[in-house]
Amino acid sequence: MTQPPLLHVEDLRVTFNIRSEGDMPWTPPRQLHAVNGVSFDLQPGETLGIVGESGCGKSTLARAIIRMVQATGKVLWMGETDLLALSKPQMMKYRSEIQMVFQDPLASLNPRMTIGQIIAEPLRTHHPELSNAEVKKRVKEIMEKVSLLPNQINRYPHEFSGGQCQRIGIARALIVQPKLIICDEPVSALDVSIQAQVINLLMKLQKEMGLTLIFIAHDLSVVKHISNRIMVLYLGRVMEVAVSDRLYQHPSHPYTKALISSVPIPDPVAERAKKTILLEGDLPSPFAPPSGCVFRTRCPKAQSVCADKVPELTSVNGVDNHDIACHFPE
Amino acid sequence: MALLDVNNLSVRFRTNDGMVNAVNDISFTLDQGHTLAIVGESGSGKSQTAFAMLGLLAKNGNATGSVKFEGREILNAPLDQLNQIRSNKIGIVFQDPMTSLNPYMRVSDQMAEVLTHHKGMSHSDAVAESVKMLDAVKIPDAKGRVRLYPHEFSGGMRQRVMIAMSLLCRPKILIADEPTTALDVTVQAQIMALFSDIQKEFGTAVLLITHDLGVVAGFCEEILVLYGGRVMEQGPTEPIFASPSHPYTQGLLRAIPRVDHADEELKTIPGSPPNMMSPPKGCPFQPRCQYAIEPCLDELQPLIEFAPNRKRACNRPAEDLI
Repeated sequence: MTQPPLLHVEDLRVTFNIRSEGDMPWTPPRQLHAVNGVSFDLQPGETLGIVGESGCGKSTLARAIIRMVQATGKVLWMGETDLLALSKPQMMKYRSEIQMVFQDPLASLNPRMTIGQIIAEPLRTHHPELSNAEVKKRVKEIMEKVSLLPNQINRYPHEFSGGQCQRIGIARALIVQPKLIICDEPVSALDVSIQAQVINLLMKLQKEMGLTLIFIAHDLSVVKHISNRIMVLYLGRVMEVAVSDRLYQHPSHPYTKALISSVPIPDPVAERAKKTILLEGDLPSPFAPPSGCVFRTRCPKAQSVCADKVPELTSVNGVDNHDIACHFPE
Repeated sequence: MALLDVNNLSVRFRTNDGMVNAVNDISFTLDQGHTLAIVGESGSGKSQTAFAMLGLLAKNGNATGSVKFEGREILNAPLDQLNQIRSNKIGIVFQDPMTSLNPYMRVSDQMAEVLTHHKGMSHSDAVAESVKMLDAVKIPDAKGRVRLYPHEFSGGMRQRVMIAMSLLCRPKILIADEPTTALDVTVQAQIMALFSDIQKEFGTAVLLITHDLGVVAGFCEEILVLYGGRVMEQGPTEPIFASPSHPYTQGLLRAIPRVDHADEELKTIPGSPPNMMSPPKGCPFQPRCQYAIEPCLDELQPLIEFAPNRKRACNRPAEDLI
């Protein structure tokens, strides 16, 4: 029998009710569909990269999975439990299985707690039975794992650099031995030379501890480097999903193509030879997304059918693990 | 004569905890219509270099050295002289368009202000000229949107407004301080294409300040690599990317994942950038450098020309770097 996926997400939708300033009390709030029917499977041990421009719903998707925001649809954990149907106390158990690493390393650490306390907090919450000595031992172990010096345990977050703060955030996520870690733009606030350190650390830990990762970033070169599979989002919908090499070598969706061609290459010869597909205009307002295919207003291939019919996510020419939502795939 | 000639520019800040040497002995020239990039990580002094040239340093800052624009000294020049140059001759585009545009003023008013001040135009002429410039930076329906406030534009459009504003007086030099860092890649590509067009169309020299080596590779002819407030390497773009002569440049290039290459392990630079309050003795990069030898620890190697137009500051010969 095949193993069930670690996570099976089906038709996940997140809708925010937005009241604008100056609205009358009786005006109904406007609805913003931040995530609009996203489905995917996540196999144990794999890294799924999620890319897209700001406002495409990638962070909201991550937050919906761990129920930091309300969502509808289905999130099956290991083929049996629907996380979205659980009560809060029931969900607690799964929170130690799914941990998160946030974007801004300093802002996601409590400035009034020592890093020892910060790293220990998930352990104390999920395993209150552990003795102080045991907690301290585990904190020191995990600090060594992420290359922090154990003698820094009593320091405060402001005494650390951005890269070190991100290591603290990773240690905090790892200490409860989760199966899945969701990294929401974990390296975008870091300097280039530090970025590589954190990426290598995440990849090393994944190998050692058999972690599954969801890696969200807007930097496509970073995502490509770390992910097995990549999902491209646009205005809350999946445009294309593929194994990462395939996605970069044979992008099928016009949006993916434009996105990949926009990434600057740090090599003058290659960069100047490259043909950049410039997209027209900006992301449409998420309050009033275009009818049919949401990308059609900026798509060079758009035709009238694109305005009428929402393209389904289907396999490209029968290639395994390569799905695309486009009426005119290549 | 070079359009802009910077010699031994240094910037110091007096703080409660002592002096910070943010920029040390930077020299470069920028000719008409050319593009130069100042590349460095946060805290390397790249923005302060630009701010010092235009007299935009914070009150506790002090710049020394020489900055000559068209042969005239402008460093620490009196305010009325600087004001004739700012925006009029040297335009600047800042990183975050939301915080550098005035949120209380319509775009038309803040753009027109530049022209009424520098060119003595009437308000209505100035607005008409602003619309033309917004058209030039490809803002759709410029005429209708010029009356909007900055918050009514998207991030990319706002940056276009900034660029249009900085170009109003047809400056000879455009300084762009991380112009695309706050933007998405697709918008970044649009903005960089716009910079190329502008540079060709108006013959503007561009000084690009960035941390993104990818953007530099596509756009700039010359590069200045800064680390800890000092120039590590300086020269034309292609040879620097093909054969970086400084361990820092080399490390930086190896630490970036690339979309066009198969995956290989990223080579990291160990440690973190120096704290400028207490910079390391000797070469600023020495604590993180795998090639560091004894003299690096207490002696600073001056920037030396080792090949035509290429300069480097390193004790080890370039051939030693593998």
